[in-house]
Amino acid sequence: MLANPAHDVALILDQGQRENQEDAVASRMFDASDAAYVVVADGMGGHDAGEVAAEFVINAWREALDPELETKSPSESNLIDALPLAAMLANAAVSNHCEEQGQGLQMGSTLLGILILGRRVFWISIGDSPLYLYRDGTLSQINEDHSMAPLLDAQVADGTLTEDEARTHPDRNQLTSVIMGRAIPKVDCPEDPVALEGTDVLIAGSDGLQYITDAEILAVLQANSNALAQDIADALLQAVKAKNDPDQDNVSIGVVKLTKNE
Amino acid sequence: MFKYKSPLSRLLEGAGKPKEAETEEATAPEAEKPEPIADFNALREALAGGNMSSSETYEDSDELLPEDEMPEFTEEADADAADDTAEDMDEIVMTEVIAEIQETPENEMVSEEPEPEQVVTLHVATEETVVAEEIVVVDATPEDTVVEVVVEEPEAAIEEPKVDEIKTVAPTPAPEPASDRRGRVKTTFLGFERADTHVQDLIETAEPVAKTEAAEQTFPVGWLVVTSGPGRGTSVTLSEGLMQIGRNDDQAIQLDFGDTGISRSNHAVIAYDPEDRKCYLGHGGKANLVRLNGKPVLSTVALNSGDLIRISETTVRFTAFCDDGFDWRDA
Repeated sequence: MLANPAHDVALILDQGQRENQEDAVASRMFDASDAAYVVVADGMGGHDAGEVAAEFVINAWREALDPELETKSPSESNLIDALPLAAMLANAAVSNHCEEQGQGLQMGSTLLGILILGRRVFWISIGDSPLYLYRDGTLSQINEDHSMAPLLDAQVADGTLTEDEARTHPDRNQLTSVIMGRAIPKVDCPEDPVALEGTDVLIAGSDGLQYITDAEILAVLQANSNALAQDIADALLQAVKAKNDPDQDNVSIGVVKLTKNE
Repeated sequence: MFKYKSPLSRLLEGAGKPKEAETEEATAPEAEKPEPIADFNALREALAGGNMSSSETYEDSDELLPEDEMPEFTEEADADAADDTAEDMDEIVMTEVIAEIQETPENEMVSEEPEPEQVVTLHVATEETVVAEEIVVVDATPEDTVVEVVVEEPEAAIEEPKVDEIKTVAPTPAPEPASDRRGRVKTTFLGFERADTHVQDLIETAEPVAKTEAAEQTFPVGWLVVTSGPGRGTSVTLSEGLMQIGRNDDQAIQLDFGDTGISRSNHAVIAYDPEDRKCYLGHGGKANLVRLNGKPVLSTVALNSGDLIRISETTVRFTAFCDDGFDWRDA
């Protein structure tokens, strides 16, 4: 079926040192419409709640996008609208579930959904799951980080915090927006897509990937820039594992490259 | 289904007014309003001479005409030409405009059955008047009747000032000299002089606009005006309470102009919070998308004057009335 896929996509999901796997990832490619998506959900909540929340997010994403993508000629505006709709569906599902379970059950999940139409990358991001773009030897996070981290870093820039204080701040990983069945205070969903260039590499991850620094991620990419998506994903996971952090969180990694370099 | 929109309703309970009453109150005026307001816009546009300067189609190209293409016109010839042109154009423009006014749902559509009572053309009249007048000045001898293009029959309101279309139509029948003349005149006159005579003409010739029926006490907190998509030019007064946006006629903010991408009911909601004197926008709880300045609205967000709200193919612009400086509770 995928005789000539336009995108080279790889996914990796690793449990790290945690007892539960609360991350979830999914990807599909649609040859006919030259489209592909990668979605990452990083769930949280006691007991099994994190898994459930992440699953709601993935299911909502698929519910919002698959039917349109499976049609012969998907409507582009419907596809673009499907991104926020997926977030709304996911939020509704979480909300309903919490209500049914009662007892003040709290669960939540990030949503990082990337839709690639040809070379154009659309995304919706709620929470702190990072989306990186590796281009011309440099790495940049192109989605918003809805955690306290950017605010703390801003305080460092202001001189009100030292770099050390900011890095080890107890609230650093506190989310400022997340899908948890309530109001979603922040959503990153740019109207204009980013255009991929021939040798670009997109990396979608859960924050478990950030147990290695951006500099380390960059080093891995520089060493593997011509590798297949699968090899890049693998190299990233090896770098995370090499850290051997006893607290290593679940790690999701999605890597996307164009198959045609021109 | 969507629990997270509840902040809006909570917010409303604090507003101290019963929702029901508010909603109905708001619905009524909105239905009758569009005409007078649209007319006012047309009038203003005409007064500002905006329709002259904003035209793209023929005027721009006229400006490109080299000076030497100017025919040397004799007084009579020119006056005649002017006369004819103006009359021709006027008739054509008139019918075109009449036809156009009938349209309700689709802007672009020029519809067929003209209703007799609607009509008019303040700004068409003025435009033609200007043309005529310019001729006179060029010739320096306003010898015979300046073509006073007074549109007599009509006096009602222009539903929507479709300046562009009107103009595109106008030049077509115009004979050559007309456009040459216009090109020349344009370079001769100062914009504001023209605007002045414009106003004078309007005042002398235009029929007074009928009294608006919408002069009711609506205690507005703000307004929405459709700026693009079906229903363009329509305005809706926002009052306190939970105002739902939808196509049905029980919707406080009814957007039923042919954009079927808008839900029948509760596609989105707007509510005024007297505490911080702001209007808030939320989605209606179904899987309906609303965008505020391009960003999808996933929870309740405060509106600021000038914000653009997009629902399906329809864009409305928000303008606040109540704000830090004024609230109906102040008085």
